[in-house]
Amino acid sequence: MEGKRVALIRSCASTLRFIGAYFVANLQAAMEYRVAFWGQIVTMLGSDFLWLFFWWSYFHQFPLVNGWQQTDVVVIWSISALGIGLGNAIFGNVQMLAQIVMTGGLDAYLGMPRYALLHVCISATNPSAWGDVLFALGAYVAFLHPNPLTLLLFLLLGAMVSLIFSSFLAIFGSLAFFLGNTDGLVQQMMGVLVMFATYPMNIFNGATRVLLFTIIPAGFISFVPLQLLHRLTWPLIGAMVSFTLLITLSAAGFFHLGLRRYESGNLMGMQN
Amino acid sequence: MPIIEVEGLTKTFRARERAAGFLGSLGSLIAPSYRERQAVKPTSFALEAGEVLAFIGPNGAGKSTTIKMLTGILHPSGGRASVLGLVPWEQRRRLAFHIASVYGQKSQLWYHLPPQDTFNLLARIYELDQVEYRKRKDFLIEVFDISEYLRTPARKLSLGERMRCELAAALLHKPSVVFLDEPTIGLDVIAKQRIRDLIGQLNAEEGLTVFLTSHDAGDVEQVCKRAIVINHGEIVLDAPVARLKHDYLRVKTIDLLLEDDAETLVKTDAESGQQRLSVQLPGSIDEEITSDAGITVLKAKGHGLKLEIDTARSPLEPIMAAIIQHGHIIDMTISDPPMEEIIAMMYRQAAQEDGKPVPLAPEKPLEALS
Amino acid sequence: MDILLKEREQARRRGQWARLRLSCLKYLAVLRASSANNLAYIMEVIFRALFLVALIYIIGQLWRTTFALHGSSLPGFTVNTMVWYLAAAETLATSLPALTRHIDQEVRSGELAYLLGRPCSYILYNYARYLGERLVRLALCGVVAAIVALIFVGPPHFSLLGVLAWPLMVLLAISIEFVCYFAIGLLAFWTENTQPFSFLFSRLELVLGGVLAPIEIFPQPLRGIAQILPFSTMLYGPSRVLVQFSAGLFGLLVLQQAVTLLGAGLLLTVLYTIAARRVSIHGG
Repeated sequence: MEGKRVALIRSCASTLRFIGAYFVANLQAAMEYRVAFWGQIVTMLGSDFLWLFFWWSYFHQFPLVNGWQQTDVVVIWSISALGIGLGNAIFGNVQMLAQIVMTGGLDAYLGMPRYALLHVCISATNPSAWGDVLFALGAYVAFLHPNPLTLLLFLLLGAMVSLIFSSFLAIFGSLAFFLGNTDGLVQQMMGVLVMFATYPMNIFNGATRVLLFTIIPAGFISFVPLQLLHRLTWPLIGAMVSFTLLITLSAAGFFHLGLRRYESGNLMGMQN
Repeated sequence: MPIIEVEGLTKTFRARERAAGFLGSLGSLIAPSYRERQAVKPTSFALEAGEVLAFIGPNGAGKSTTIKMLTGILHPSGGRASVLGLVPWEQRRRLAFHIASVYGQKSQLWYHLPPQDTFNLLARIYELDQVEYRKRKDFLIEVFDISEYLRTPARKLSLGERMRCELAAALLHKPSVVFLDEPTIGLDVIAKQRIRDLIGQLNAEEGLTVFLTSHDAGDVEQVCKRAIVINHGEIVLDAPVARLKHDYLRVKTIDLLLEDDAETLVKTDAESGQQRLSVQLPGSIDEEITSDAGITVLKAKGHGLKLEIDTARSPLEPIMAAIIQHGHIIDMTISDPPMEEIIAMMYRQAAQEDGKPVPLAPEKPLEALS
Repeated sequence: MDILLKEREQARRRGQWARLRLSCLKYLAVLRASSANNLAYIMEVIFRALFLVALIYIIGQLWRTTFALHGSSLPGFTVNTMVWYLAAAETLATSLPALTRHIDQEVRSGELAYLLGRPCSYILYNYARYLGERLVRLALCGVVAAIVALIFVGPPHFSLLGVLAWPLMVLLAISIEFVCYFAIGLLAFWTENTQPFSFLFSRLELVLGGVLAPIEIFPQPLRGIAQILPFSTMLYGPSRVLVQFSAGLFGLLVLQQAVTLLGAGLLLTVLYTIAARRVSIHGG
């Protein structure tokens, strides 16, 4: 029993070191082109603030129904930006999963002694994502003046959101195992998710809201964290953690199913 | 105890038939029809530790499918295999710690980073102990002589330099078996030689088992001791390279650019239409050379003459002397025949010996993930 | 002498029209052709349509909720106008082909170096190619966006003048975009990667060009800035004129578009000349 626990801890540590090593390598590769790197970050930062300013003023002019505070738009934007930014920064390559599967690039990962899905996800980054992260932290701190505990909660929620976001993309990317070229679908679904996450839930009716807590989990990306940052309740945090676990495990499981199909070599569109 | 054991390994692909046209595509989505293709017929062979094996065959022969099964990427349809005592497709991640794959056409090195950084990353991927890793890295840097390029971004390296770094990267985690796919492709003669020497050196010093796939006969000749030739999914030859050399690699192709018209050197047989070299060999009264002498005219057009000479039957020098006597040679290239030719030759010879019908060329390559 | 020149001019112009027509037909042929790629292309359009649906739905809901609460604090705008504005602007925004990437690749592959000697025909060739693809995409996205808007708020209340003015402004808008993205692509002569610049430009275009809402909605400092900057000519201009035509605004916007096009064109010519000189000195 003791041996197993030690082995588990060691493998966790190894996995973290593995993710860390890729994180460093990705940053190094991005820094090779300083101008482009900083340019992308500044662009993202700038455009995020621009949008935020627009919507801030809009909701100032036209406040929504009760319960909706003016700072809520900042919270929604910054928690989404934090989670999505972290997702794109650390698991930046999950967007390319469909393409990697289709072009046979998965073989290189399969030849390595690591979990293929994780390996694919961390092997590339999107530098502009750091612009989102910087924006998120900056906007949240500037507009809401959180105390350290709330800030910590904010960061934890951001971490969970990044897992939800990346798992979401991984599930759609894994569809490539079954349906062939779903690259376009992945891109659009990402856009759809981001869209739904950055607008207040109040404007949606019941049926849509159900959708937003299941198939397109925008509800867990911005709405639930918003409630939690207003008032931390145990049931709600339980729901958040459970959903994060659920979607992450589903992504891993679905990928595994697809991988089995891949390994049998009978993918659609791969043999002519 | 063989390090790789393969018994009755076979793979059949089932592909969905693609119908033409938009409606056809939709139709095939609803009611698909399948086509089966046996990429690898039941195959058996064994490899001992420290062997250097050449795994050769034309495109679509089933080489990459077999290798994918041995590295655990593909599940076979039948048969069994064991690599280092592990079943590849069941224990793929565990096996990955002890094997390495190098592709001549795909790079493992990060394009924008110096090889040094890729090495550090690999150390983490393979969970290498840092002290051991540094020792191993220094050793490989010396063997491959890459200390100068270690801090240059990979994109700025020449192909030869990159290939050496690539090999060093693959060997960082001390694999027992390394699968090399076209390691010398695109390299100049000197770089090719260097890579071949390095592989030989590592095999001799470390007992590294090498599984080499190459279309370059030179790679096979110089590096490997044993060759398995695979075609249409089955092994057609499993023999020492010495035998391959003796039986098939003694043939040389000579490409000549002459000052005179090439047609002055050939005579065309009226009934068969076949062309034969027609020069006066020193020490011979006959002018014509029959095909029994092992000389085939591949092309005689304008000023270009291409000959295939079986050096076991007709040494090169007298023929060259005769041609030079005939007229001025502007340019001449002597080369080994391409791997596909060697295999075609194998079939021709086998057919001649058995009286079986001769397949002319490999089937149209149906590429699996290669 | 004049007759010869005139004839050559006519032939060249006819050639350009022929090229444009051919380009359009080529992209239509791509849609009709029977290959696996074609299905993928169609699927891409369907996926893009999905995004448009979600977008128009969300923003439309937002307007609806807002207007229900605050009536028409926005003079002259109704939910209907806003949604149809959105549909028109988004049609333009999502129909942009990957021009910068294409020019970037052509520069790096050295192709451009050959063709720099004849700038006119190279630019026009690309223009025809771009127009062909752009028009087909515009049509597809437009149809999707229109259907969604129709379902969501019902038929539009366009005025006849608006409908007549719209194609002209769209043509000007996409021409401006062509010149700008082409110029950014030319930067490949000087930088390793043009993608961040095209990314920056497109973000600015979307935010300051008023893709989600007409610039009138913008709060004050932003509104002033957005009105002055040329980005409004690319998305806001045509869409605004379509949904709510006013002669004065039309005149102003068209003028702004023409000025922008001339200015951008001038910039492009300058860039082109510098690039050509660079090639002749350094040999591509």
